[in-house]
Formats: sequence, C-alpha cells, structure tokens
Amino acid sequence: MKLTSEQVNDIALESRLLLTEQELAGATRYINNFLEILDSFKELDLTDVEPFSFAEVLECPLREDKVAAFPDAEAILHESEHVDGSYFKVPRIMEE
Amino acid sequence: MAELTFTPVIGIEIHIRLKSDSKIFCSCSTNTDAPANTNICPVCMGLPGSLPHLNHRVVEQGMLAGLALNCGIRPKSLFFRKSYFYPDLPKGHQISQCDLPITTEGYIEVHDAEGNLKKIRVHHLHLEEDVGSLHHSASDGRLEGADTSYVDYNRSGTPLAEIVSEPDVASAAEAVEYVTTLRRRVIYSGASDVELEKGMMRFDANVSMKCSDGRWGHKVEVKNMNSFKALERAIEFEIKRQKKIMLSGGEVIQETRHWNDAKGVTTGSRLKEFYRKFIVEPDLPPLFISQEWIDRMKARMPEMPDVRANRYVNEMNLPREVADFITDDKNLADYFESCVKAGANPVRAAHWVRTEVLRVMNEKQLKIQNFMIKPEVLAGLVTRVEEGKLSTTQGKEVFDYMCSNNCSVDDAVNKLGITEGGVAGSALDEIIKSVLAANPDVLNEIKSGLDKKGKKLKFLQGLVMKESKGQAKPQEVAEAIAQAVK
Repeated sequence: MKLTSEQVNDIALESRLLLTEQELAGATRYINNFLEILDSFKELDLTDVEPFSFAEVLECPLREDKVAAFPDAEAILHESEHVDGSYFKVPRIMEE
Repeated sequence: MAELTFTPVIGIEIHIRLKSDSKIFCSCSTNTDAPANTNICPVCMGLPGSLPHLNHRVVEQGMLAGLALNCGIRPKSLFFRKSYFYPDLPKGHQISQCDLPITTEGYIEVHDAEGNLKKIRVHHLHLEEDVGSLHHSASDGRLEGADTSYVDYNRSGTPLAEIVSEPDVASAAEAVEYVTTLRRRVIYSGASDVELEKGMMRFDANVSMKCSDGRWGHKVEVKNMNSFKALERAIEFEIKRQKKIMLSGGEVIQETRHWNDAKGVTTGSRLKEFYRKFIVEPDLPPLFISQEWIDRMKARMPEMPDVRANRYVNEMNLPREVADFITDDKNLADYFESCVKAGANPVRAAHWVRTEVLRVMNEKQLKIQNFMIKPEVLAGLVTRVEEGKLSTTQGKEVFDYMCSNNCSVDDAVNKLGITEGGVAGSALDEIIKSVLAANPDVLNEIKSGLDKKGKKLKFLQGLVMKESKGQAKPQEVAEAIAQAVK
C-alpha cells in the first residue's frame, strides 16, 4: 500500500498543517517507507495471532464517579487567543 | 407490466447520554447547563500530558443499557482513537469502543405493518465520549451562513452509549416504535434518564430502498434528528425521495444528508468528509469484565416495561393502551403496583391513577414520587368505592379533599359529612316524605297522569338527591319515589 502526495496533503490539511512542497515530499516518503515495512508482514501467516495492542497484560484502571472540578478552568480558556466571553471562537465551520 | 414495489431498508444509530456525575474519562461534572467552559480540564480538553481515567459507573451504566437491549456483555472490550478533525473535540480524536464494544448483539421487539411482533436486531452498544457544543452566529440559528462558531466544551467528554441496529427496520412507524421501546427500556435500567428535550438521545438513520425489479439503491445517512417526530418525518421524506428517483430510472447517490425540521426536507450535507481511521487508544488498556460483575449487573435489572405491560394485560386484565400508558413511566407503574398489592382492584386502580392521580400531578406540577396520597391509602379509597361504601362522585370528593388537606380517607369522609354506605332505608324514606310534602302540586300532577314524559318524577328525584347530599344511590331513589307516588 502506498499513499499519494495528494492523500498525505489532505490528511495534513485536516490536521491544520500547511506543508511546503519539500515537507510534503519528505512526509510522503517517510509514511510510505513505514507502510512498506508493514507490507512485509503480509508474508507471515497470522491467522491465529491475536492483534497486539499492549506490551503487558494490563487492566483498564477505573475510578469512582466523583466530581472534582479542575481548579483553573479559566486558565485553559485563556490558553487560546480566540476567546469571546466564556466561549472559544473558531472560524465558520460549515461549508457554503 | 407489474407495478414496481419498494421495500425500505433502514438501520438506526442512536446516541444516548449515560447517567453519571462526572465525565467518562475525567472528574469534571457532567452538568452541561453550567456557564460555558467551566466544566473543563486538561483531560477533556486534550492538553498534552493528560491521561484518560475510565469512570467505573459509566461502565456499569453501559452494561445496564446493553442488558436492557437484550445484549450480552463482552468479557473484554477496548477503546480506540477515532481520528476526528473538528473543533468540537479538541484532541483531534474521539475515544470510542467502536471496534471492540462492551456488548454483543441484542434486539428490540416492534410490531410490523400487519401487527405481528418482529425483532429489530441491535448490532452492539459501545461506550464513547461526547463532543463539545457549537453555537453558530447566524441570527436565525441556521448552520449555513454563520461567520463564527463558538465552542463550549462542557459537554466534551460526557459519557455516551452508541447503539447501532442492523438494517431490520422497514418503515418510519417501526423506527419510532424501536426508538420509543428502546428509550423506555434504557430508562427502566437506570442507565440514563434519556430526556429528549435535553438532547440526551440523538438519532441517525441509514435509509436505502430495495426495488421489486432487483435494483438496490445506495445507502443514505440522514442526520440531525433529535425527536421521535423528526425521525419519523425524516425517514418518510427520504423513502419518498429515493422511491421517486428510482421510479424515474435514476440512481440514489450514497451520501450524508441533513434533516431540516423547519422545512421538512433532507438536504445534501455540505460538511467535509473526514478521514475516520482508528488506532487502539494507547492510554487505556483493555477493559476486563468478570462474570461475577456481569451477574451483579443482571441482578440489578428491573422487569422491562414491555414485559411489565404484558403482565398487566394478561394477569390483571388491563386494556393494552392503559397498560402501555402506565408502564411508560417506571415510577407511575411502581405506584400503581403498590396500590394493587395493597388490595385495590387493578382495573379500578389503573383508572384512578390514569385520571385522578395524573390530573392532580399535572395541576400541582408534582412527580409521582412526591404525590401526597400514598399508594396504599389510594388502595383503601378505591376499595371503598368498589364496595359501594362511597359513590364514585363521593370518592372523587374525598380524593380531592385528601390532596388539598393531606389527611386520611376517614378524616376526609368525616370532614365532608359523608355517610358511608350512602343514605338508604328509613333515612331515604324520611327525605322522600318531606320532599313530597313540600311539593303537593307536583305530586298531584303525577298522580293524575299528566306527567306523561316523567319529567316531574325526575324533578322529584333531583330534589331527593340534593337533600341526601348526593349520598343516596340514584337507582334506589328512583324506585322509592315511584313507589311513594303510586
């Protein structure tokens, strides 16, 4: 499997990344090299092998349903430059 | 040429907000009515270095909701990151169990067009986090034409159950029964209050059409329905639209369409399509659920509303519509059953609950849990009416008095000066005697045979009823007067 530079550019745009031509070529090459390594796994018979997700057998830790308000929610709001009152402001999100 | 027929093939995705105090992966409150962006923290805002920590209660609520839909519980499930580039979720991904959900298959029963029961299979229910809410600046609230969007992340990270059906739904009516039954079952399980007006239940429908000539139209995903009515109208519209296209030989395009409730139409979405790839959430190891935990959850499941309604019909002889009505609200059904357990006739008790109790609840804006007359007390009143100790009218007077004065049946009867068992025998004869003595002209008219239509006789009956303060039985009064004027 290989990605075209257009596909990589689409993903970059969705991630709000503007890549120069050079960066795009580099990213496409990097991703395709990686995909090539993954492709080589196809040679193996993995029929009875469970997908590997975690290096250790861990159990998902659970917490009690208790509210503990974050002490400085306002600081998070003001991490953004685009704030109006208590709202985050983003450019129009609907396509015309 | 045989006329072409079309069969709608519909699958429904439902998002339900699960009931919990804190969010699914952090300790922020789930109160979405709080001032904007006050219930946020580094976890639900996806700030670097923060780690999700799964809420124990949300897992249990997911299990309860799943059991309510006849699903099995998986001993191992997993969370994924679903790539999602949209400003209502700041992490750039949604944490969701989309690929290895907490439940296995289930089903909900509905009635088909012929009235037969059919199963709508539930593919699975999975846990995930909700996204923030976007507010648009267009003055009329339209999504299009807004210059800026405002984001409130209070909702971001509140727990959701996504319920995905198989495409077994064949009409808008079946869709509505499916979501209505599902909602009632989930409420009964205690997993969610599913308050529609608070946006706790949202629907998407996948609609396609199968034609009798063998053609199969593409699937269209219809979004933006948040009421049963909207779901019904959107599906009906989409069925008509697709049928029209296929009848004219056209091809239905596979797309996402938005339901416009004001205009009553679906329109092609102008939203960009996203890359929605999944990777395993590396910060959340697998969720293991022991059989013992599953058994504990099963033991917590109450009798489901449709099962309960069937029992009322089969064992208590309640009409179907009354049984459905009472079981619609679990607390109301609990009240009714306590009343029956205390000895009330079920049919009569159901009637009282449905008319008098609900009337006062509405008038006084009360919940049944806070109703001033306890079910055991109502049972006593209902029984006295049934045994004829109180007439229906007297029973209602006593009921109203009890509601206003918070007192017992006996107190109300005494205060209202009601003679239990009514005015009868010699007491009734005395009243009739005095009424006849006070109206000699009327009596003469009847005796001389001038009262051909019986109007004068009715007049006397009315006077006697009034004198007895409504405590005489009308039938007995009529007979006694007829005897006395002979």
